[in-house]
Amino acid sequence: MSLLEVSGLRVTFSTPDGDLQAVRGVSFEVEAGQTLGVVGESGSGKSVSVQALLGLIPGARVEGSALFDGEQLIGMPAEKLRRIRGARIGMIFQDPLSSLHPMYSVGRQIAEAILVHRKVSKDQAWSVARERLEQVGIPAVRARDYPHQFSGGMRQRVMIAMAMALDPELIIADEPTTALDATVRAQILELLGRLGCALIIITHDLGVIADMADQVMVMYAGKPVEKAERRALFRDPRHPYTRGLLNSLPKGKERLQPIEGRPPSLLSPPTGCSFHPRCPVRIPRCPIEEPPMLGPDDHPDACWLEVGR
Amino acid sequence: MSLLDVSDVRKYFPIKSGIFFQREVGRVHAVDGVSLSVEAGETLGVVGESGCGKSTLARCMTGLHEVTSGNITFDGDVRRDVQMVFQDPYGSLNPRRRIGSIIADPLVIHREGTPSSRRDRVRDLMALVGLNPEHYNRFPAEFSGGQRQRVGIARALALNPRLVVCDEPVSALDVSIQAQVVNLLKDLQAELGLTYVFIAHDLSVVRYVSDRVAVMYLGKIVEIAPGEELYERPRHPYTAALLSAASVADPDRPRDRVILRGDVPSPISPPSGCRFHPRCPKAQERCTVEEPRLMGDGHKWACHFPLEPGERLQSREVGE
Ligand SMILES: Nc1ncnc2c1ncn2[C@@H]1O[C@H](COP(=O)(O)OP(=O)(O)OP(=O)(O)O)[C@@H](O)[C@H]1O
Ligand SMILES: Nc1ncnc2c1ncn2[C@@H]1O[C@H](COP(=O)(O)OP(=O)(O)O)[C@@H](O)[C@H]1O
Ligand code: SF4
Ligand code: SF4
Ligand SMILES: [Mg+2]
Ligand SMILES: [Mg+2]
Repeated sequence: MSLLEVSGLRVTFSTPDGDLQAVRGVSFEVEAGQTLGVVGESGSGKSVSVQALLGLIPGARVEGSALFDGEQLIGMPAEKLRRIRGARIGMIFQDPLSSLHPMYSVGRQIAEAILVHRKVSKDQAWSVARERLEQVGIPAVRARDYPHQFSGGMRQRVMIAMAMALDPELIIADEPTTALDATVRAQILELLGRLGCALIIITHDLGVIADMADQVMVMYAGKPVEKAERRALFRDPRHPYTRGLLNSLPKGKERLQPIEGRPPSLLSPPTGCSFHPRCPVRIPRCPIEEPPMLGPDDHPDACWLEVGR
Repeated sequence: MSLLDVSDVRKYFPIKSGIFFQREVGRVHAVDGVSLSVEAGETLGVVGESGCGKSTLARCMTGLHEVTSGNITFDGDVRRDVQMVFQDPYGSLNPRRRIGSIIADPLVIHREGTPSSRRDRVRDLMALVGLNPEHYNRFPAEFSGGQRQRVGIARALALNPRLVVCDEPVSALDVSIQAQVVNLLKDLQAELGLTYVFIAHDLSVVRYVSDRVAVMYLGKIVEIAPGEELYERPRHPYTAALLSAASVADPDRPRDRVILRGDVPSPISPPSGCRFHPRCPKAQERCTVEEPRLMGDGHKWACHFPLEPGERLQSREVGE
């Protein structure tokens, strides 16, 4: 059994323009201690997928199954889910400033997170908070400082310290380095790589995937289109969208090969394969029939063509 | 003579405090003594981390900022022949105005042509940048990020400029769209003989588009060289650290990258001597007191103890 097993996850928002299916059937597993990288362009449903299974999107209709250590998260009572969220699953978001309380010192925020979930004294909670801050490279003497007194990179490290506070089995990091500078980004990735627990890292940056992920899931228009082990994905990309993404990246002085067109609106996704309007190798079947995930278990993709299969 | 000459340019922003009597309490040294030249027909890339002064330098070059000191000379009419493309394809277009009239702005400001000749020109520009000229009357909200960036490019080209300063033109775009816009800029350069200053924090995009690359740190240029030379043989420790921190989609890249300690310091009171010394793995006593000057020809760097060509910056010296 995997630590987290998600299957058939669907998330629908009601909007004035009709139903918007942000996530349209996502399945994946995360093994204990392993890192799953989720990559895709903006709007492909990466954030909504993980937020939905943690019960963080109140307005949305969430269907499917998400077993965390055997327990069903979808439909779990809010209070019970909240306990799992803080203690066993940690979260790190793109923008640390909006997830930290501006009026409390960072040490207090970490200590209170501990006190909510564990029966320990205030002093014990503070000493764990200081220890965690040291672990992410922030001197314990700064525990009484407020978020605005830290730089962006330090705030992200505070978020990591907080996510780590209760030794969770899983940490979900949604674009943890997108707002950071290159040299600071390298510090944060190094830190995340040393965590030891299972990690889901959501990003649009294929460089982060290449550095961090054990397994990778590529998403397009609310669905996974390819899953593979990290090296297999870069060495042997199979889905035309994955190939398009990799070809779009600059490689020295070679002319770039963009994917033509742009991602579809999820209010009215294309029929058949949702990539077909942009796909350079589509066949007559593509706009009519939707391809399921096909191919070997360790490297499936959702495409009618038997590229590499 | 170069197309553009920037000589010891400084741009400081006053920091004011006090509610009734605004008193200057300090200055942001956004650009602090930059000299460089841009040759006709080339692309000069500028890289550096957030807040190092790239946009401020760009705005000085295009005349949008008055410089605090120093000189900028341009071989032509700065107001017509130098144009700018901005980063934010969402914020830089007025949502209540039609695309056609946004693109026509520079023509109207410079009293160029008649309303009907302007309309023709705008349609030509829209076709040139890959927009459908029939969308002349649409509003920005109806366009995607990539298309809005094309609108910004069309507007910048309206007056047939010689130099286009592109400030992070593709940073806000998804990779597949980013590649479309980068190819467009390349094609336009070949077709119209444009000169570019191309600012970005993505090192691989800059490598692809640029002939020469300048690296900025805290308001200063620390290294400038022909692109391949800079990427293959960086001499300044900061350049080497930046290159090693860059995001590369290669799962087999060695993972022994240089991790610098700390963050970029505040430009309000930059460190003494070499501004990079608090984070530099090679820093020595001299670095804390004596500011290194940008020296060399062709390949210039500002460092007392530069890396030898091919030498790797050692990360193990970091954090000690
Ligand atoms: N109008 C202004 N008033 C005060 N300070 C300013 C102003 N414009 C820029 N600055 C400051 O000047 C410094 C350089 O800013 P600039 O926008 O040039 O950086 P940049 O290199 O373009 O960064 P980024 O990569 O984030 O776009 C920063 O510290 C910034 O906060
Ligand atoms: N609260 C919401 N209401 C309506 N639509 C939403 C909401 N949150 C996200 N969406 C839509 O869901 C889709 C997927 O969003 P998201 O998961 O945030 O994408 P990603 O993280 O991959 O960039 C997008 O089309 C987005 O606009
Ligand atoms: S199913 Fe058809 S349209 Fe979709 S990716 Fe494969 S070839 Fe392209
Ligand atoms: S001058 Fe000294 S501190 Fe500055 S980059 Fe060179 S070695 Fe490092
Ligand atoms: Mg997201
Ligand atoms: Mg800028």
